[in-house]
Amino acid sequence: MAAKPGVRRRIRLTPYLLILPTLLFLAAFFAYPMVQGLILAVYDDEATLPLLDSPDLSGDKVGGLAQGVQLDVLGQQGNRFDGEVTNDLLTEQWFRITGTGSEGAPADGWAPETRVRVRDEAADGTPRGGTIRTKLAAGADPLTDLYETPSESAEIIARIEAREAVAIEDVATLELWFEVVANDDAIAEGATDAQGWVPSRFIQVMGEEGERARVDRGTDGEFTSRFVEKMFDDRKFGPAWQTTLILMALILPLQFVLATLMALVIHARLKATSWFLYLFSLPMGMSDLAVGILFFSMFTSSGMINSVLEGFGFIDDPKVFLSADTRWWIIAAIVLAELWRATSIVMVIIVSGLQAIPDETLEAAELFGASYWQRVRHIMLPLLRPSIQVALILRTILAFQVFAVVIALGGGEVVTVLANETYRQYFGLRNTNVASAYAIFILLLSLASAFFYLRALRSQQELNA
Amino acid sequence: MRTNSGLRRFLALLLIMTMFAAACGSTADDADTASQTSSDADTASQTSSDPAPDPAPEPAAAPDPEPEPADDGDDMGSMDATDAQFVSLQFSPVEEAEKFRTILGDIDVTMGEEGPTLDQILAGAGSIDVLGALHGTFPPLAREGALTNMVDVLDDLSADRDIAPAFVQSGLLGTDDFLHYVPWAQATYIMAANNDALPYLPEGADVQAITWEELAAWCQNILDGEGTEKCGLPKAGLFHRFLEGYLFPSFTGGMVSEFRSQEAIEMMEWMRDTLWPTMHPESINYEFMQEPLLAGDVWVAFDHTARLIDAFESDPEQFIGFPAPAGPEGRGFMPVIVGLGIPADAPDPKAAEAVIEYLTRPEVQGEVLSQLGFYPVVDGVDFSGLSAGVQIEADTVTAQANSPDALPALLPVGLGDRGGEINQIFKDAFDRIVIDGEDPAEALDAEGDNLQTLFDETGAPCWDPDPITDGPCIVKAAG
Repeated sequence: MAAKPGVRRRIRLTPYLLILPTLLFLAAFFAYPMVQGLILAVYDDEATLPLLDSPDLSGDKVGGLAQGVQLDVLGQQGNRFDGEVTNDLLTEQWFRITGTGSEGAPADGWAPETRVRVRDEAADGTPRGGTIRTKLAAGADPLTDLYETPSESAEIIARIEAREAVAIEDVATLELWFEVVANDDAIAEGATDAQGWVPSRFIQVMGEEGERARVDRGTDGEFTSRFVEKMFDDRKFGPAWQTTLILMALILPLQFVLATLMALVIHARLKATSWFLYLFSLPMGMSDLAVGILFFSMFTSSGMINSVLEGFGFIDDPKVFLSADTRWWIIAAIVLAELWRATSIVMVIIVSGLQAIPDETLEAAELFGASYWQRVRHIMLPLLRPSIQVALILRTILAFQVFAVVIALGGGEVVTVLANETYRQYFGLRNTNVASAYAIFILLLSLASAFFYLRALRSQQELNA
Repeated sequence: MRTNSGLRRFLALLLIMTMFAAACGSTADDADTASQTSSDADTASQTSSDPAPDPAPEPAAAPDPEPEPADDGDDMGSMDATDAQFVSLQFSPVEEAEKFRTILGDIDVTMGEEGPTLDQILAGAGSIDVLGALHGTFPPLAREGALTNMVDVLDDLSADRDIAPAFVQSGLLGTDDFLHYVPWAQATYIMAANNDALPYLPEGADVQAITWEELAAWCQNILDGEGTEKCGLPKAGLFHRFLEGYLFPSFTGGMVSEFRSQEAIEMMEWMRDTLWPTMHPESINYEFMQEPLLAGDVWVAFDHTARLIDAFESDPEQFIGFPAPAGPEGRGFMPVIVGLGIPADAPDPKAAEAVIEYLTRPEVQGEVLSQLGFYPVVDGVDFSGLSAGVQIEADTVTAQANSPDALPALLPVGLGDRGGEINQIFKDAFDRIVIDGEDPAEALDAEGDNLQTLFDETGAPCWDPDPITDGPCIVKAAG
């Protein structure tokens, strides 16, 4: 296909056009979520709260405080505010109301919106009148204070009773800012000693007079290894990791031996070979949770195994297989359930590999006097190497994700695996970052194992090429 | 003949590949459904209504629009409850959901899971009108200002019904006047026993006023007499409530501040050496104690009223209910509160209010009690028509709450969205000492440090039965 000088080779676009939809699909539903998960595991987007030099979102940053730092509150300011309410501030709405005070005199002052139930609105929605709400907290002062200006540190100029009808003269929306500095203990531990303003949404004010606070969360993110460290330090990480490895070490060899035997049975083309294929493949259609529950019902103290053992007189009382003291029995049950359920996947791959071996090769070997097992060892297994490689990669990746069977048989607490920990961190502890760290860990393990198999099981031809 | 077998083989392989594809496709969903909480794996992001509910609606099923004293809502949506998007995090197991839908009649409900539903509301999806959830679900929403103040709804409802003031207090989440949810139902945890276990009661013990030591002796007697353990605890279920609300308060007088006290250490040693060995070893798998009770595997059990109801209903002659045991500091018990809240971005708040009005009617509360085992929070519910099983539970719940040494332990407050961690700390402390055999003093001290860190990081003050503090709760130092 030497190109003649002066003639350009036409680029075939069609294959690339065919790949394009697949690439888009993979990017949207595969690469994007994976990248998001990776970012969640290593990036804390609420790490530090910036301190500003003035109570204004456009102020200059004078320092930053980490989440959880304890603060002293130096001052507070409510800026009257007419713009769009953003999510960065905690806004309070205040009403200037007029009505009859608790002593009968007319009252005119500011009260927070939480104290007033608006019952009458103008056409454009502006509140015009309402009633004072009761205070629900037990032991709270039943009277509502009216202030001179819309601020709780202003002077109280009147008090008014609950359910009193009032007219609303004015509405003020305030954005709350606090002037804070890290307290002495925090500074001793390394926090900045800068003083600045922070929007109220991100701190939690405590104390009788609101003189103390702590940083609830920040707004500036940073890369951190905190979540990955938290995952490794978690009490359940070690057991989960160990159990996953033990399960793999037990299940994989047994499955491959079983699957190869099953595949050889099918390959032998016995009388009812298609029935063998159906039978061996049936477990593939069951969900792993269903299989887990099935085996749970078999191993439980009133289950099938105990009934059989008791029926034959081997034991007098039902043996408890699934308890905190019998962890190894739980692992054995999981191994059995996984063997039953997932061997067919491996078998199907090996069957297809066996189909690819030409019959002539095997017949020639038979003619030359090789016994059945010699044919298996010296001809079929070497030629099956690519299929075994594929099956190993697939099965190992699935084994890292084993989840439903473990939950069904062990309750998730006594025997735990990596996938269960991912689930528990999100659903139990609502810790999306650590759950992501676990998920990325499983992903990296899967990639590493795939890489390992591809190198370790390279055929001679690949090595030579 | 040969073409026939070739065709058959091709069809067989096609069948296998289809099953393979189906199996591999289903593994993605299994991660959601795999939990043994047996909740339906409904996506919380459904914005379309559920299919039409069951036929034969209850007589009380037709919801009337709520009469508003002052009409300040003009274009805020209809007042018809059937238009509301109602998501319930309770009653998700299939049978309970069916009963609940029957009670609701024409009102649609979607069952959800806590984590995804919270994330959905916090992301501002604006698709939920009413959220029915446990008390502990609301603090993460309150922290972000994602809830509507229910104080006006309560005010309107209070015109014609009395809602339990204690639960309204819980709904304030520590504030003076921001009500985060309208109390909807309450439940608690009680004990159940098979009549066959009664002959083994220790001398002089009154089962309706039993102590923890007597319970241990009882279970030991059963073990000795029957040769096998027949007491059970739901270790795979709501076990953290058992530890937080029943065990620790009864022995230490508090839930968290005395976590590593000498009394707590002795209690855990007693648990490890005396009580846990009498528990059925399969307790690690028990989630709903009604199942082993009905199977006869367990004769004495502790669990949530809704998870014992089937046993009492199926065989009321065989089982008795009794209040949780008392310890040196009292009879600790934990009331569970379920509330109805309206997210701040609800598309149809008026319809939401109509749903809440319907669910807080005394007759509907009575239906929820008799069908689902959750107790009313309003006065005026007719208790006369209850079935035998529910009656047993109702009597036990009342006896427990009214016992002279009753020590109510409330749900943890102020932990925001880290409420799950405190449950984990209690469970870990138990596992380390009782299952793994670690030294009790060291394990409680280490977990006590975790508890203190949790309080320091969330700023949560102590709550009943611990003395209320200003500022983060203090877990007293060991010894």
